[in-house]
Amino acid sequence: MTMRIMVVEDDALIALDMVGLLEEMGHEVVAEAADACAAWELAEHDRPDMALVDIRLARNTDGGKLALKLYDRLGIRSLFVSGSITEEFRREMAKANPVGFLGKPVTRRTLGDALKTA
Amino acid sequence: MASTDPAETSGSDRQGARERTYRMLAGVMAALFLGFGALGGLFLWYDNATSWVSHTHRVRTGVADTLEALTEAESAQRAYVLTADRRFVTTLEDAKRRALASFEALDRLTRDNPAQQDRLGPLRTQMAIRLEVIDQVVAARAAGAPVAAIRIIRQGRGIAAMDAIRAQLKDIDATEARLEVERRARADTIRVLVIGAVLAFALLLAIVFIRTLRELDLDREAEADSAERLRRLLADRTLLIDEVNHRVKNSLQQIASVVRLQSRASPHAETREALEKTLDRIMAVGRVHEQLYRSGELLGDFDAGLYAEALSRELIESLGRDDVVLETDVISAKLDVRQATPLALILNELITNALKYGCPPGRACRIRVTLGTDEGGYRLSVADDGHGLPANFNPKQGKSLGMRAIDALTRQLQGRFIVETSEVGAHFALVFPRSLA
Repeated sequence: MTMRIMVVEDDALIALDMVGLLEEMGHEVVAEAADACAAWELAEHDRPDMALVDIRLARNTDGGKLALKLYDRLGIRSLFVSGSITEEFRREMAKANPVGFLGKPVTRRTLGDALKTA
Repeated sequence: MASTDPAETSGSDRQGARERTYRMLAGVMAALFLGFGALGGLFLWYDNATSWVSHTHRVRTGVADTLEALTEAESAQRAYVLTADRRFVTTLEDAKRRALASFEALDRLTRDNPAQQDRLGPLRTQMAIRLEVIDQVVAARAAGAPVAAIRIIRQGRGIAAMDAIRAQLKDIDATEARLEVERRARADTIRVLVIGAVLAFALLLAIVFIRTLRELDLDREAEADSAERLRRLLADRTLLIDEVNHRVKNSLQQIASVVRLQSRASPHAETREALEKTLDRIMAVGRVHEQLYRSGELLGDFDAGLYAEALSRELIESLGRDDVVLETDVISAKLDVRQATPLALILNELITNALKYGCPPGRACRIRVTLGTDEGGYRLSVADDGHGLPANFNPKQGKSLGMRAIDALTRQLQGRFIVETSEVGAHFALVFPRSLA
């Protein structure tokens, strides 16, 4: 099933790689953002099916808060991607009904498996 | 460096404080025992002094009783001479007995005092004379007229004896009175000493009690303080490790992303394959890091069995092939952190090779990964059921990067790489020690 996905990642090359992986899997990347504010504006405008969200974002913004807001106001679920995901974070994010939590480094397979549940 | 560590500094402070407290406690206990001993001694001394005062009292009472009994005997004698009433003889006999008993008591009580004993000798003689004269008077009166009795009284022997007795008793009493004053003064002095000692002892106890309470309070505060400091320190370190871990993972992701982008951009299949291999190696290292460190924990163990199982499954599944069957038979083996990465890379090469040469596309096959013990060390083996190795296969002479890497990594692990001959497929094993020398 093809999805319209927004990639929120502050590292440019990692973002590029994620976009490549998603497109390889047949999904459409409709928006890319490096920080939570830009991501929110794009999401309001483009209404993606799902967001791939890094927890630590540019300009000291927080992927967790963004995900909560995305789900709360627009019903968009997130797949978190981060170097470290704590149990506490998982509990806090339960309210955002996340697609999953993906540890870095991401492989084709781990990303594909995580998206299967979306 | 260690001395600047706040946790350690406060630890040694507390050690010192505790040692001081223990020494103080030992001193206090010794002082308490000595104090108790001294107080006990003082009490015995005071008891002795007061008993001497009452002893003197008894002596003086004895003196008074003797004189009173003798005087009463005299009065009874006179009354008998005047009235010839036998009742007075009974009174007289009673008074005599009392006088003698009082004298004997006096004699007993003054055994400790030679001067008084010296006075008692003549007193006894005079008392005997006085009582003898009284008996003579009574006998004369009983025989008949009072005249004979009065004559005996008039001879004055009895009166002289009585005067001597009075003088002696007065001397004895005067001496005892002086002794009483002295002994009472001594007892009073000792009483003051005892009261002072008791007060001093109570004061000492109060001081020790208060000081001990304060020390305990200080100790408790210090303990709470250092516990809090340790908690903060630990929280800081955990945070720091979390941060480092996050950065390591992010860096691995950056490297993997760059390699994957390059691979995707390459028009040549061979280049793409080489880059994908590189990506696998990066991921094998990333997985080691993942297993060594889990968020919120400090450095964990590296379990080679767990790792081998997970990596082989991952590599096979990433190919998306349903016709490759993986068999694993691994023990749990906790390895040194320094052994983890070389072992992971060797395993990565072996499984990649088995998949590439043992299970070419379209050929169903079986890959077996085992980890067990061998010669006091471990033995890791990877086998496939493919076409097997060429007859002249020699890993040392191979030109492929994979084999050269395995050779180098085996040396790093201080192990041995074995190519085993088997009926079907290729069979590689790595024997390595439990820990690095």
